[in-house]
Amino acid sequence: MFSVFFAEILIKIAIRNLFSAKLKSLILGSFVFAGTILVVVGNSLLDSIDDSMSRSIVDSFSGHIQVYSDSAKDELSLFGGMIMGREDIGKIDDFAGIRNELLKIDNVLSVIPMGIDTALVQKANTIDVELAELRDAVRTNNKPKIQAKSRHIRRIVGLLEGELKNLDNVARTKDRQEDEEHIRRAASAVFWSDFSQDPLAALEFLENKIAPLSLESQDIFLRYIGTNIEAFKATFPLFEVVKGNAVPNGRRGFMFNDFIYETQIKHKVAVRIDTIKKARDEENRMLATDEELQQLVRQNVAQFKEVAFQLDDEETAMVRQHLKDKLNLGTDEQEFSIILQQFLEMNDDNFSIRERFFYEYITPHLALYAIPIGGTLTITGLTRAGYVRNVNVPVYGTFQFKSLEKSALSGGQNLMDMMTFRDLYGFGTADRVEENAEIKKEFGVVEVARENADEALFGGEDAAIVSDSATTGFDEFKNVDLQGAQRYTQALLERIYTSDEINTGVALNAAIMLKDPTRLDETVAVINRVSQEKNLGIQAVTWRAASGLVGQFITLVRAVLYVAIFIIFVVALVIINNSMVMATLERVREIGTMRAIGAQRGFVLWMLLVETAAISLFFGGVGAMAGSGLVLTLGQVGIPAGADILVFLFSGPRLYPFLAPIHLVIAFFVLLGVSVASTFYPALIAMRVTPLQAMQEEE
Amino acid sequence: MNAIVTLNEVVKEYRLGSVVVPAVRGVTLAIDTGEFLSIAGPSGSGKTTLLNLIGCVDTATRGTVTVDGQNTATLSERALTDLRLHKLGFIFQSFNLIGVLNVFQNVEFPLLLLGNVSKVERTRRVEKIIEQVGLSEHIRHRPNELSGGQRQRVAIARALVTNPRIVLADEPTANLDSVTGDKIIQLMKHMNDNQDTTFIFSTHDPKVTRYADRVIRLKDGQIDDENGVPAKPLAVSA
Repeated sequence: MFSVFFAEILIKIAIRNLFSAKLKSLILGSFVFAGTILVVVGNSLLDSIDDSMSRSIVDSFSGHIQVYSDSAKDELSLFGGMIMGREDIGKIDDFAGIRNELLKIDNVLSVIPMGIDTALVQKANTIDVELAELRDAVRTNNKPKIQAKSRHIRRIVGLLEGELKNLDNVARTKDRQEDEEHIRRAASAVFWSDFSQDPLAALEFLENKIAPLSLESQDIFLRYIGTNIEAFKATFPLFEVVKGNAVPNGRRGFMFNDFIYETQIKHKVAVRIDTIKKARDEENRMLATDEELQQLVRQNVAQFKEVAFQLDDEETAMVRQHLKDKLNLGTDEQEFSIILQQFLEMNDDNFSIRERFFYEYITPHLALYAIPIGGTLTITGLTRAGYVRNVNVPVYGTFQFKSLEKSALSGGQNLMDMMTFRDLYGFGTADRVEENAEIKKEFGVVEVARENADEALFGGEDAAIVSDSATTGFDEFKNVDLQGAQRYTQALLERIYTSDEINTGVALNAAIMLKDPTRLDETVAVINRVSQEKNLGIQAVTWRAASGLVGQFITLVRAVLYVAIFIIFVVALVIINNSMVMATLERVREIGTMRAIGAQRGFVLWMLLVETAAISLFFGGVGAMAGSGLVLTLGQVGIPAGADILVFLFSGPRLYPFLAPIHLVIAFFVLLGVSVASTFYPALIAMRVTPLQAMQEEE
Repeated sequence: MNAIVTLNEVVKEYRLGSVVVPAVRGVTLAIDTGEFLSIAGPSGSGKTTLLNLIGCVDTATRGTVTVDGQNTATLSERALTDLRLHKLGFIFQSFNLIGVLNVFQNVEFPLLLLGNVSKVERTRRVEKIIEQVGLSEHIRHRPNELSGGQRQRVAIARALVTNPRIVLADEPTANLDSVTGDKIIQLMKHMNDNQDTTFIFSTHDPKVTRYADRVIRLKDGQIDDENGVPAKPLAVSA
C-alpha cells in the first residue's frame, strides 16, 4: 500500500505543515538538535578520553594485561583500591616459571614482574603517633607497651632539647623560654619516673606543650612498584629519567616519581614558592586577589623555622648579609627570624625577585630535598607476616611518565628494584637463600614438610629438628633480623644481580605487553585457559579491570552521559508527543476530509510519522553535523587539560578528540526511536478520526 | 432504469446518552446514473444523514443502502474507504481544502491516494479540471488566498478529478453569497451535463433546487413527497 506517490505527498504535507508552524518546529528541533550534539560530542569525547587514558595507563606501568595469583583475596588494583589498608592479591611464587609459560603464548611480547606496595618513609613527626599509642597503652594498662612507648617519646624529646641548644643565640622570646622550660621538663628523669603516678596528666602535657614544638612534617607514605627496572625501562614507552640516573642494571636502588619528589620530598617552603610561581606564570593568578596563594604566603611566614632551623650561625650571617645587600631587608638590627619573616611576606611586586633570591642565596644552605639523589632512603615496610622491616636503599634519581608529568595520579608510583621489594615484603631473595643455606649448614637443619612436622618433632628418631619453611615465605625466623644493618652493607648494594636472579622468586603481579593490543580480550582468555590447563595458579585481567576505579571512570562518566541523553530525549519525546497531539486535534477536520476523500487509516499514521521523522532527522542531521564539526575542530585545536586528573585522562596536556562514525549511527537510531515513540499516541488519536468529523460545521 | 444508488427502508438512529434520536426514519429511494438530484428540507430534517449514508461515511441502523451495486452494510471500514476513493466525490459546505497545499496539490491529492496514476497523467488531469472550473490563473495559490467561491470551485475540481460515479455535496452554497452560490450550482450542473456523473446535493435554499432534475423533500427524517418535478423558484416560500 505504501508507494512512491504516497511518499511524495506525505513528505509534501509534512514539510508544508512544519513550515506553517515554524516556531513549534524550531522548539522541537532545538531539543533534538541538542540531544544529537550531546550523543555525538559526548560519545566522541568519552571514546577519545578512553583511548588516551588507556595509553596513560598501559604505556606507563600497567601493560595491556596484568596477571596475579588466582587465590588472591582481593582484586588487583594498580592505583589503590576501595579497601582501606592494603589489598591481599596473593603472590606469584615462581615468577621465572610463569614468565616462561606466558612468553610461549603467541601474542605475548614481554612480561615484567611487579610488586606494588605502600611503605612509610621516615622524614616525619613521629611524636604524635607515638603519643597516641602511649595513650592507648595507658588506657589498656599494657605495661610493656607503656614502657616501650615512653622510651621512644623520651628520645624524641631529647632530640628536641638538642635542637634548642643550637638555637640558643637566635630566638629568645618569652614564648621560646616557656617552650624551653617545657622541653627541659619533659626531658628530665623526674618527669618520667613520675609518669606512672598520673599518666593522663603527663600525656596531656606532652600532647599540648611538646608535640606542637616538633618541626618535622608527617611521615610520607610512598606507593612503589618493585620491578625489574631495566625491563621496565625497556617496556614502558612513557618512562623517562628526570633527575639523576636510572637504577643501573641489576643493582638495588630506588627512583622517585618526580612529581612526588617535587611536592613531598622537597623543602616545604620551596614547594610553596614553586606553587605560587606556577600559579602566577601559568594560570595568571595574582597574590593580591587569590586567597589560596595568600594562604601559602601566610604558611611560609608562619613556618619560617623550616628555613631558620637548617641554617647554622655562619649561614645565618651570610643570608642576613645578602638580604640586607640585595633586598634592603633588616637594615636596623632586627632579629633574624623577623627579617626572614619579612622576606617570606611576598607580594606581586616583589615575588619574582624574591623567588630568584631564595634559590640563589638561601637554598644552597638548605637541604632542598629531604632525601637527596645519591643519598639513602630508609623505607619502613610491613612484611606480609606483619613485621615491621627497615630497608636502606640508594636513591638513584627521579623519573616521570612522558606528558603525564603534571598528573598526580600517574605520579603516585615510585620505582624500586625487585630485590629490595622482596626484602621489604618478607620474601626470599638470592641473598637470603644463600644465607639460609649457610645457617642450615651450620646448625645441621633438616628439611621437614609442614604436614610432617609434628611427627618429626615428637615422634621421629632425630632429636632436634628445626623446620625451615622458606618455600612458604612465612618463616618467622627470617623476620628476626639478627644481623641488622650488616645485611645492607656496601657490598650488598653494589652487588649486580643477573636477570635470572631478578626474575627468580616471588612477584605479586606481572605486567604483560602484547604484540597486537586489539586482541586483548582474546589473549586474556588464552592466558586464563593456559593457567588452568598447566595449573599455573594465576589469573589474567585487562589493564582496565586492573586499574580499579580509575579504569571504571569512563564507564561511570558514560553512564552519566547516557542518563543525561536519556533525560533530554524523554523531555523531547514528551514535548513532541504533546505538540503532535495538539496539532492532531487542530487538524481533525483536515484528517476527516482526507478520510472522506478516501485516505486509509494507514495513510494518516504515515503522515504523522513522516512529519516527526522529518523534524527529527533534519534537526538531528544538523545536530550530528554540528557535533561532528565540533569534534573535528577540537581534534585540530585540542582541549587543554585544566586539572591534574585531566592530564592523566588526556594522556598529556591536551586532548585531541576523534570522531567515530558509529556515534552518528547511534544518533540516527536514537532519533528514529524517539520520533516513532512520540508519534504513537497522537497517531492513535488521528486514526480514530472519522470522515463524519469533516462534515461538521466549523465554530 | 439504471439505479446507481438504492435505499430500502433505511433507518438511522443516533444515541445521545440514553436517548435514541432517529435521524432517518424509513427512507426508500432509487437514484439513477447521471441524475442531478437535490435533497431539500429544513434543518434537522435528515438531509446530511441521508447524504452520509449514501456517501459511505456512515452506515444505516436498519435497512439497506446500495451504492454502485454494493451493500454498504456488508463492507469493512477499509472497503468503504476504498469505495469512497474510487466511486465517490465530496463537496463540503466549508470547502474543506487542505490549507498547507496549493490549488494544484489539493486537486492532485485524491489522484495520489489512488496510487497508480503517473505524474504526467496527474498533471494533465489536474490542469484540465482546474481549467474547467476556471481557476487556471490561481493554480499555485493557497486556499487562504482565494475567495469562498473560488475555494468551492477547487473543491468541485477535487471531487471530479478521479472521475467518480457519484458526487455528493452537502449544502455546497450555504457559505456563499447568492450570486456566487448560483454560479457554483450552474458549474455543477454544467459538469453533470458533460459527464455521466450523478450529483446529489442537499440544500435548504429553494433558489438552488430549481436546477435539480428531481428534488427529494425531507421532513422529520421521512420523504415528504416525491413528485420528481423541479420546484419552481418562487413557488416555495422560505
